[in-house]
Amino acid sequence: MDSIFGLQGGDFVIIACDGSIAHSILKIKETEDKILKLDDHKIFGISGEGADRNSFGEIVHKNHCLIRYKTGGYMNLQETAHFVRSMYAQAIRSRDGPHQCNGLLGGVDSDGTPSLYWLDYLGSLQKITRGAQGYANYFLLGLLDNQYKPNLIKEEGIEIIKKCIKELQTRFLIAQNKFIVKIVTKQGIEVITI
Amino acid sequence: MSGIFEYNGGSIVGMKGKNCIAMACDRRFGQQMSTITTNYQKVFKIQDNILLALSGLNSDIHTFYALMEKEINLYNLKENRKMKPSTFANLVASSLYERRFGPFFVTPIVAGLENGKPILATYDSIGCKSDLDDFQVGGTGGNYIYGACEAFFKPDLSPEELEEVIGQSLVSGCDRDSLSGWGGVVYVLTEQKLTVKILKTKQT
Repeated sequence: MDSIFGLQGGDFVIIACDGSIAHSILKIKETEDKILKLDDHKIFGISGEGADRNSFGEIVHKNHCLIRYKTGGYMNLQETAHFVRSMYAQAIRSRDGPHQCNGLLGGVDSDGTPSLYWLDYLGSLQKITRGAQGYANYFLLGLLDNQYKPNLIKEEGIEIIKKCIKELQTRFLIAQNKFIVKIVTKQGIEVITI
Repeated sequence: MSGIFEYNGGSIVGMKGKNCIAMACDRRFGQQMSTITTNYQKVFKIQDNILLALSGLNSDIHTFYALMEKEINLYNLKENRKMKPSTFANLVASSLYERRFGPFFVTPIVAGLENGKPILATYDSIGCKSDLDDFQVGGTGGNYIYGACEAFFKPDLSPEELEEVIGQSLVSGCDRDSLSGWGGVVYVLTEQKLTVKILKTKQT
């Protein structure tokens, strides 16, 4: 039921997630942050059951730190995306089975190039400019395709995300009131709650 | 899962010409009925004279391609020479059979030029190599492309004619398959060069 969606602009990446955690008909929390900070310029929005989301997030975060420690401190977005993909791909044929969560990985490299990657629980990987995971796919892809243009500026990006949130609140059956939006630019990560 | 091979969609086709080979693939990456991107690369250049096209599950396409890259790099380092296309064709078959009871959900096509002679081989997901035909297809739109290939193909086509024939076959096939399309890419390999051309198909 999670909605994770995002887009890549000229020099920034935005990923937004809904804040709700629900168990059957009960809404437990409305302000859960489902977008993990991997380092100062990378974020990974994960959608899935709470336990899978948390545990996979931790695995990715810690292993990402370990690789950076071993190899000299910096991994760019392409390397990180392929690394996360390989964690998913190794798991699908393992004894414990696949990690039951999908993700959107975004960030800005040290030279200022933004990238956004779509990852799914089987280990699929695609570099995208706009996308969503979960039910948000059905509601937002059309809107994102329509509003997107190359080299967006940050303010335009935030406007588009606000439109997406309004769309979900209007048409999606599950009431999702609070959204957490994270924007990565060359300067760092900015967090807004809408 | 109703068809793990149909989960992400996609079609590929390979053809032999006179001292040249051509490969074409569509560009759609989807999740069952939903399209995620329309710029998904399914043909990979393994070596200057070998192309590998993969269709099937996206995750296994990435994994299998990485595995083949690793094998060919190790081979180059250990033997200090390039791998022949017929050797690579065999390598793909045995790598697929290694996973006989937990296979990669991919259908590969290998195409290459060995001393000017075209090599083309296709496999099922557990490594049964088939290299006797002049054109091979794979993926969800495979059957539709077969029909178009039979109609358009002639033996010993020149690179320009081959590019035209394979492009038309791919476009006709993908127009009918709902899980393939959103553009096509044609690769033509001759002794001298590799040309890449992007085609428009029906935008659905």
